[in-house]
Amino acid sequence: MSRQTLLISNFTIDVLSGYLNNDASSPQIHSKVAGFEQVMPVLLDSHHPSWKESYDCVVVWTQPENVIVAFQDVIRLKSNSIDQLLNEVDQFARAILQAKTHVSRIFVPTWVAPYYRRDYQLNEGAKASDVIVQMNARLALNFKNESNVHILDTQKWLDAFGANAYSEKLWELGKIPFAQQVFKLAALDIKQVLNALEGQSKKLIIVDLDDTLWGGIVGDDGVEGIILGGQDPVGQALVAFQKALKELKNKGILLGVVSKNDESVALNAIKSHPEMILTVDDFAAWRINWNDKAQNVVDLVNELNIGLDSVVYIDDNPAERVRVKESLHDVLVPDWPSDKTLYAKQLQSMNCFDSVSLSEEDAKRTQMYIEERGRQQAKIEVGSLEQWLDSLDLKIDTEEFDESNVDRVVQLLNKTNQMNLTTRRMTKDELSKWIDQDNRKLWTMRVSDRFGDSGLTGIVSVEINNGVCSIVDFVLSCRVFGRKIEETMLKTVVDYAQLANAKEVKAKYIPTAKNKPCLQFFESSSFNKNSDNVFIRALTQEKILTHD
Amino acid sequence: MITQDNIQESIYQAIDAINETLPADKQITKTEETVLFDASGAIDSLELTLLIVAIEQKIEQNFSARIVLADETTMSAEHSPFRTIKDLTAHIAQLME
Repeated sequence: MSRQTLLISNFTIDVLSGYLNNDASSPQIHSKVAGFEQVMPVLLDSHHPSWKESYDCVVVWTQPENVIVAFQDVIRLKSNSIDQLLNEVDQFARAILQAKTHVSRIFVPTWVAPYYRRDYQLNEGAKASDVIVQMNARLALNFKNESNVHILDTQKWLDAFGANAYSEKLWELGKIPFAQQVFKLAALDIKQVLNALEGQSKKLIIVDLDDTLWGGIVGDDGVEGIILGGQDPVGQALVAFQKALKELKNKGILLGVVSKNDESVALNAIKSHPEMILTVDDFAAWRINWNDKAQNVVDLVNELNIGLDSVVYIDDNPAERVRVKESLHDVLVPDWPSDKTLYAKQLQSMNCFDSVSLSEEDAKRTQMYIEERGRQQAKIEVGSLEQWLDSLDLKIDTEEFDESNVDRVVQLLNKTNQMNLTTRRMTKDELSKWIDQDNRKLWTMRVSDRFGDSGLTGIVSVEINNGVCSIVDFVLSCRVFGRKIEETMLKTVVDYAQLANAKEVKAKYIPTAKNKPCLQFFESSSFNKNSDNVFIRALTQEKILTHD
Repeated sequence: MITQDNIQESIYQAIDAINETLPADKQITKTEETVLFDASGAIDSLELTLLIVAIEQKIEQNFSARIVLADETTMSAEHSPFRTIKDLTAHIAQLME
């Protein structure tokens, strides 16, 4: 399904439209350009012809000199009032927010100073580039609490092409302010933000060790012989690469290791080399052995309970990369530079890890997987599932939806793919609007056990109409599958439906490429399945057994 | 050595870049006879603008030579050098002599 997108601009933006429309990768976008120089009429007039069609997103990309009148004084070096200018920025931000009545996503690329503008070595504060910084900061401030407005960094796109980012000729002939390739980067970023919003960003980086995380072969060279840190430029570059990986781990991306090595030797290097940035606890899982790497990737991904299409595999060895790429098509295997000084830059140039928000759960994600390792170890020791569950001292706190947990609820709704009944994606505003009806309820589940706190990891919501309680969302993080939390979620619904005198509870499963685990759960539940993926539970049945 | 074939290759590279932004039914075909711009308007003025700039850039990248394709003379010439790819190739070769 294409995301219908309206491009609103005061310059010729058709090139961006072309790139967005021609890129077949997910999510597909079908864009149209609003009338040239129609920025304010389109934003302020909800009956403007541009809104005749319905859109999912808008992109509002403008040149500041044409929407902020006071900025024209700045570029003409006339005296100006910064307060008046920022007041105009506030007005423009309010105009942009009007688009919320039409779309669920608004993208606003930041302003940049016009290419023909020179700063003549003026003092700080008088330069157009300084004023632009203040204007962009003010714009961002206006959108601080707007979860469906996404600011994009235009300067980053321009920096990628240096002096070639602008083409005077394109401007004079076609009112196109930037070189064609700038629009290509913009299109990639817009798609990536959409991917992040829809939970399609990559979640796990699997790295090799020898000549990837450090230089040399630890099995041959010993811990003291590997190249890492010190005065060696390659050693320093590999430290920078590890720091870049750690940064991603801190924002919730999991790290794993697949390496052909002796496990004890490799782990000893990680634990004991004085210049290692990454520690054993930074890795959610590893497979360090002499087996086929593709099989090891599969095993590791299964342990972490995530999809192969969430994985990036990094290895210095081209043959191993080909092996993984050809046998596991869903795994992203980037071409990797042979020059180790380029490793960090290569990793940082990948936008597939982008996310639009950072929650407490993101920051603790690796820790949660480490706790999971403890649980699995306990499982091996304890034996049966029931004994294991008892040994966990599982605690599930069910809470009704409120504003304090809305950000995490929206994040979970938009990121969870596997245990997800309907894969309904919503913005914060859409969710708040949806819940604002008496016949609707949403509960959150916080899960903890003796190994640690998994945080808010489950959501279930219902809508009651004519005595039928329909489950609208049934979402559970893959980290806590199989601990009877699913059953507790159903019990919450059934108890509520009985109190509300509903005659039945209904769950309609909407299949996607990834949510089969949810189907399997409902098939094994006490709900009866009818022919079109609808599961019914008449409320005269016995209550569902739960793990208290 | 700069040949008509080299120049045509530069034009084709520029067309590849422009085609990345054009819908399937408006893609510019890479043949000598392809009509770029005539009274019937094979490609629109925006696409022609993008193509002119892209070709100038490719010529600069490939031959370290700066040419100006869009000026009053060429834009108003009775026999437009932009009519076909063959015409454009010959025109660029002439500019680079």
